Amino acid sequence: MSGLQQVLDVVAASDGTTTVDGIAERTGLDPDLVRVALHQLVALGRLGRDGVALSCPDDGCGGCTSSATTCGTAGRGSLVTLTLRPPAPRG
Amino acid sequence: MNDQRAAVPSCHADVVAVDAPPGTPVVALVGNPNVGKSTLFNRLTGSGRDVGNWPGTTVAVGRALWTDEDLGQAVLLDLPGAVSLDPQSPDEELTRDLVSRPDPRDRPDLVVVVASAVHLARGLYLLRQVLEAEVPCLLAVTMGDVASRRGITVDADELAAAAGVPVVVVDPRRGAGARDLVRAVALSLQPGPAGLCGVDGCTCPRGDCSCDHDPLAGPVAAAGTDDEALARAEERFAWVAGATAVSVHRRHDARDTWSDRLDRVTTAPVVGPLVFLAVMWVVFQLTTTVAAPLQEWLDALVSGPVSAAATRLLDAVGLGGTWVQGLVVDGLIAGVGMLLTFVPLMAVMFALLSLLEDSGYLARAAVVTDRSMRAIGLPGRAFLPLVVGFGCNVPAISGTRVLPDARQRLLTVLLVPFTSCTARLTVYVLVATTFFGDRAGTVVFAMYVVSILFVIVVGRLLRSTLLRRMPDDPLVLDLPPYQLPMLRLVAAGSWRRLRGFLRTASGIIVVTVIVVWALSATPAPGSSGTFGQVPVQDSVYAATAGAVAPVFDPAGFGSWESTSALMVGFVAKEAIISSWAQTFATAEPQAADTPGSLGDALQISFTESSGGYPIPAVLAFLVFLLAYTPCVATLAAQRREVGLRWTLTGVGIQLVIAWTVAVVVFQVGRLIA
Repeated sequence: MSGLQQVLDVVAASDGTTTVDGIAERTGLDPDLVRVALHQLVALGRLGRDGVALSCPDDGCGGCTSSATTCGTAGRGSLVTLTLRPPAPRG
Repeated sequence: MNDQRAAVPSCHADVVAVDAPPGTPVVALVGNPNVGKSTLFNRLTGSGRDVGNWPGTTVAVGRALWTDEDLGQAVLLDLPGAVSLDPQSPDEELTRDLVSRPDPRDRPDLVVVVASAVHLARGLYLLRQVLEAEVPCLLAVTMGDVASRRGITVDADELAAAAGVPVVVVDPRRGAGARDLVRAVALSLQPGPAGLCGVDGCTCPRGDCSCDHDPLAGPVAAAGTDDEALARAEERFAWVAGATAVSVHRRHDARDTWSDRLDRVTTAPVVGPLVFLAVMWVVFQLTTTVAAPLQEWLDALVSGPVSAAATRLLDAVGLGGTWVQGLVVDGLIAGVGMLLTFVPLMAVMFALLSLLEDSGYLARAAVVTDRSMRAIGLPGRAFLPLVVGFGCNVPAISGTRVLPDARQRLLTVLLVPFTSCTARLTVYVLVATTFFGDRAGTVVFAMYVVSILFVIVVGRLLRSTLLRRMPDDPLVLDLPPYQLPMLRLVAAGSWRRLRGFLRTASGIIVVTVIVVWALSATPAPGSSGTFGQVPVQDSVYAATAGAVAPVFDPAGFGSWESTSALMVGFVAKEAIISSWAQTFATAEPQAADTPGSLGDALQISFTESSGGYPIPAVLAFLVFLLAYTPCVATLAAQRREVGLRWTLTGVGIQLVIAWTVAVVVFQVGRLIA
């Protein structure tokens, strides 16, 4: 099986949360390669990528009520989450 | 790229223009973040550039004239770090735009892809995309010393053969390999096939590449449908995996990095949560220890000289003794001023949190939280909004939109209010420092533990009753490596958080203070006095709170002062502080010059309302404060996400739980005391 599809399958089959190291363990790929694969899957739109801002909104409580995910600013030490997205419709 | 002074196509760009004769070749350094690109730029050009590229820093392009006896002259560009040319940030967008401009004549004459030997695969992915942009390139491999310590070696010849590009190993900090790089660049800039690299079937002895076919024809040449795009990505991935497989060698006895070793502790199933709790205890202990004296000093300043000066000023302009003095001194200065005395405390707290976040630890804490959530049967994805809720409940509730299942969303929306947001922190600290002295940090920490327990217990309760069936959708967590915090980023993060606190204080709290003052200046029906000239205990404010106060008698805080503060707390939790400050400033204006008078007034109030058991009553008050409805903004967010019926259900659940636990805490505490 090809590498990207392998990573995608492991993500899809995981029951709840998994990590890059967890995917590396299950696919036998180096964690760096897993990151490359995940990055490509994000670029393809197969995964959604969000930086999790573990802080208050910049402009106070209620400042980002229309936010789709989290608000505040995700810094360089922030957690990043990747979630499955359905493939684009054909045609 | 003929015009050496051409502007970089980005409004974010910070371009250092250099004078160079027409026709001077342009060489661009491209690479992942933190691979030593800027260090290499400085080494080659003698510049003193110091630019990071992570959120919060300026997106900038370094540009300098590079003069060397082997090379002659070239303009060297240091482009922002990029993971790939599929931009996911302004930095990457700028790099992509510069490398793959539509007109090949506008592109750099040569791209040096800088890749770390430690994470070579990531660098090769970028290299592959540069190749696809049909830009002449070569590969500089850095951080060989770090890789070596981790038991990783990179075979440059094998890599050059596999990747089809010249490969130079260079140490930007010490300069080793820099001469080889200069020669390779000079060779690649010569007319002819040298440097125009390919994928398969290309050979690059000593940087002089030649290919027996067009390496970029075929699967990488076109985008097309989703399946075609996936096939193209697979081809890229296979190329990266193949080049890595033949060129990267790992010793079997290689030691883990300190980040890996630390992770084994901080994310361990049992030790991880304990470490998290210990870290948070230190945060709260430091916050109260360091900031409390400063906060007390500011408190004395606001309630003493500032109030006195305002009174004198109003007297001087003929407004002394009028309702204006009540509004300014007992309302705005007492209320908003008291809240602003917490700025040092919040600053210390936010600095510590920013420090933890920038180091990468908070991301681990999120993993620990996630595991705990799943262990108790809550869906993994629900943990994210809950973690955000510890900062502010409103975005946490908005954040539940990422949950695909309606029941997951509902469960999380109902649980978020039990996460202890930073607005509640100010009240915890005021009460804890007043009643618990040196143990204030431990008490504040305990409130966060209780908050987690509330989430767990209520979550289990809801899952076993209202929301029994719930799927757990896949989620990948990508942890950043541990890193030494950078002062600049920590300061920026702290200021961002503090600005949010100040905006709340200067917005909704000011309005609340004015409303509370107006109500406390209005005589209750049946009482004597006129507007602005009535004792606060005879006001509409006190009468309304007094009607509700008996409900809290079993919890030990059934006074109108505490009840009114909790009622005001529906608007925003910070308003509890301003409300108390207004109440006691109005009730005991003669005590306004006494430092710590609010604390003393609280001691008296809780002692009276609890029948001589102030400590159990205060603990019960804190528990109630934690568990009841956070603020109107949270309610509005809840209503928008799950509708009015579930919002009211949630409020009911919160009030019942808050009251019940508060009563239990007080009654048990009284028995023990």
